[in-house]
Amino acid sequence: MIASKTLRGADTAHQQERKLLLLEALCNLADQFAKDPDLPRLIDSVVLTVAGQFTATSAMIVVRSNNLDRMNCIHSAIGKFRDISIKTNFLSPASDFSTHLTHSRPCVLNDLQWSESDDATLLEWREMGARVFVPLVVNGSIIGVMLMGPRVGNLQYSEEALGLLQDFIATITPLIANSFLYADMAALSARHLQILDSVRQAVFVFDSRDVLLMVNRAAIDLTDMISAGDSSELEVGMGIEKVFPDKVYPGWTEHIRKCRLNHSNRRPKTVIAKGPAGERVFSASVSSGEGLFSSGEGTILTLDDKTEETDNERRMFELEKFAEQGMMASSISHELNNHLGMLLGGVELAQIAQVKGLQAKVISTLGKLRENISQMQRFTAGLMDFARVNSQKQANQINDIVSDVVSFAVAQKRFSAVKLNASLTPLLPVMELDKDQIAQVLINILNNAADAILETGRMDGMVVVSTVHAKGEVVLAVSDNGGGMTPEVKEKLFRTNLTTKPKGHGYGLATCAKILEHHNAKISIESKVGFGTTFEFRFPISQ
Amino acid sequence: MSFRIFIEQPVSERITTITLGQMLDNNNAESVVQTIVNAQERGCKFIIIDCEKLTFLSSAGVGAIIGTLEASRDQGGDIVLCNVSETICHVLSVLDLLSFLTVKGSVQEAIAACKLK
Repeated sequence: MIASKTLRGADTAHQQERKLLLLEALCNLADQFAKDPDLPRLIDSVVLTVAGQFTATSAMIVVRSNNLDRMNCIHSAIGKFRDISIKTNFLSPASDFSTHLTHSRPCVLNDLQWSESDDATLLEWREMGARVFVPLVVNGSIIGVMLMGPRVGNLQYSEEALGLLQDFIATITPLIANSFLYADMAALSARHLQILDSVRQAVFVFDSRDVLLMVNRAAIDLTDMISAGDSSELEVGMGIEKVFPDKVYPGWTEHIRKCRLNHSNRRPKTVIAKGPAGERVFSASVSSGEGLFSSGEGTILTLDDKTEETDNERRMFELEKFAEQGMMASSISHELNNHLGMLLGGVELAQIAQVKGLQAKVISTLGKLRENISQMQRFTAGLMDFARVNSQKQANQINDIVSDVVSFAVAQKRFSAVKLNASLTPLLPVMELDKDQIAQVLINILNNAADAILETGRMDGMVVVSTVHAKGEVVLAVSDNGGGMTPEVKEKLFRTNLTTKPKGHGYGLATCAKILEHHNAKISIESKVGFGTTFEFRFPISQ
Repeated sequence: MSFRIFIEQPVSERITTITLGQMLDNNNAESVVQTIVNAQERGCKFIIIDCEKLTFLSSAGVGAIIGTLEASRDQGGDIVLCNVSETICHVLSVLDLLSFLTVKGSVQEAIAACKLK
C-alpha cells in the first residue's frame, strides 16, 4: 500500500518503529474506509490519525465535493483549526485549490517559494497558523487539501516527516475519492429505490441466476397481502422459487423463465396468485433488464393488480345481464298480455256464438284460440332456450343461436313496426361459443338497431341479420337502415357509460365488447348518418 | 465494544478525569475529543486521562490527545496522563511525545499536581 523510497533504505531502529506505527495507522484507516460509508466521519478519523502520527497540535482537511447536490466542502479539524473551521465557509478556498497548487508535494508555508506569495488563500492559511499544506491529488486533479499546524514542542517538519506525510496522504486520498463515489452511488441507488417505491405496480428484479436483487414497496406490500403473514418475508438474495412458491403463485416461475429465454414472448400476461387471503389477478410483464447486470441478463418483473378491475368487469357483466333481464321481463309480460287479451276475447266470442247456436263460429273461434296458444308455446320455448344458464364455451352452430334470438326478438313490441330478416349461410363450421353470451350480444345489437330505426319514425325500417363464411372466419353481421351514427359516437361506442338512449345505462355495448373479446372476435362498424349502420363480428374458425 | 468505553468523572470545576477502556483508536477517538472539548468549554482546565486499562493507543488516539492539548495549555491548564503502561509509554516515546506530555503515576498524583498549578 505505502510504497516510497522513505520506507526503504537503512533506517535506524527508531525510524523503523515510526514507520511500522504509520503502516498500522494506514491499515486501520483503510479498514475503516472499507466498513464505514460515512465520509465526514472518515475524514474526522484521517485528521486525528495524521495529527497523531505527525504530532501536529492542529490539523485540518478540506475536501471539495464532486457532487453537484453537495456544493459545500467536507471538512474536519482539531486543535486551533477547530474554531476556524466552524466559522469559515470553505467553499471559496476549496474552489481555488487548483490555481495555487502545482504539484502534489507537501509544501512548507515558510519556505521561500510560498512565503513571498501574496496569494490571498495562502496568506489566509498562514494567518490561521498553518505550517504545511498537503494537496490531496487523485489522477492529477486536486480534490482537497490538508493543513498542518505547528508540531508539539515546536518541532520542525523534517524532510523525513514530510516524505512520510506525502506517502500517508497519497495512500489515503484515493480512499477519500472512492468514498465520494460510493456515497454518490448510494445516493443514486436510494433515488432509484425512491422512484421505484412511488410506482403503483409491484417490481421484482432478479439476476441471471434468478436471485432476487431488488423489490419496491408495492412488491413487498403485495407479497404481504397474498401470504397474509403466512410465509417468510421477502429478502434480497432469495431464489425465485422461494419468492414465488408454486403453491401460491402457480406457474409464475415457469412463465418468468420462459419469457427470459424467449425474447419475443414478453407481452403482459394474466397470472393468478392463490394466497390464504384469497385469489388475486395480476397482469405480469417481464423484461430482460439488458445492460443492468454485470453477469449476463437478468429479469425485471412488473405486476399490475387487476383484481378490482376484474371484479368490476364481472359486476358490470352481471348488471348488464340483470338490466337485460328486466327489459326482457317487461317485453315478455307485454307479449303475454297481448296473447291473453286475444284468448279472453276469443273465449268471449265463442261463448256468444254458443248462446246464439252458431256452431261454425264456435269452431272457427276455437281454431284461432288454438293458434294463439301455439304461438304462446313457441314464444315461451324460445324464451326458455334464451334464459338457459350456460356460461361455458361449447361446440355451437352460430346459425342456431341467431335463429333462436331472431324468433324471440320478432315477438317483441319494438319489432312490430320494424321488419327483421335473417339471411343465414347454411353448413357453417361448428365453433366454440358461449351460447348465452353470443345471444346476449345479438339481442343487444338487434334492440339497438330497432331503436335506431324507431327514432327516425320511418315506416320501411328493416334489420337484416346475416352469417357468412369467409377467409377462415365466420362473419355475423347486423345491418339496419336507421339514423346512423356520427364518427364521435362510433369511436366511443364500446366504452362504458356511453348511451344515446334516455333510459340507457351505457353498459350494454361495453359488455358486448368484452364477450366478443373472450371469443377473439374482431368488431367492425360501418355507419353513415341518415343511412344506417352495419355491425360485423368476425369469429376465427380455429379458436 | 465495551473495551472502547470511557468514563468521565468531574473532580471539581477545574479538574475532570477520563478513564479510558482498553483501546483508544479510530472508533472512539472522536468521542474522546468531543468529551475533552466539552469539558474545556465548560471551563475545566485540567483533564486527567487515566490509562490504567489502556492496552492499545492508535495514531487517532494520540491525535485526540494532542489535538486538544493546546487548548488546555492556552487556558493555563493541561492534559495529564496517568497509570500509563509500558506498551503505551513506548508508543509515546517513538512519537517523541514523552518529553512533551505531562505523565503521572496515579490519578491521585495527577489531581495533586493539577491542584498545585
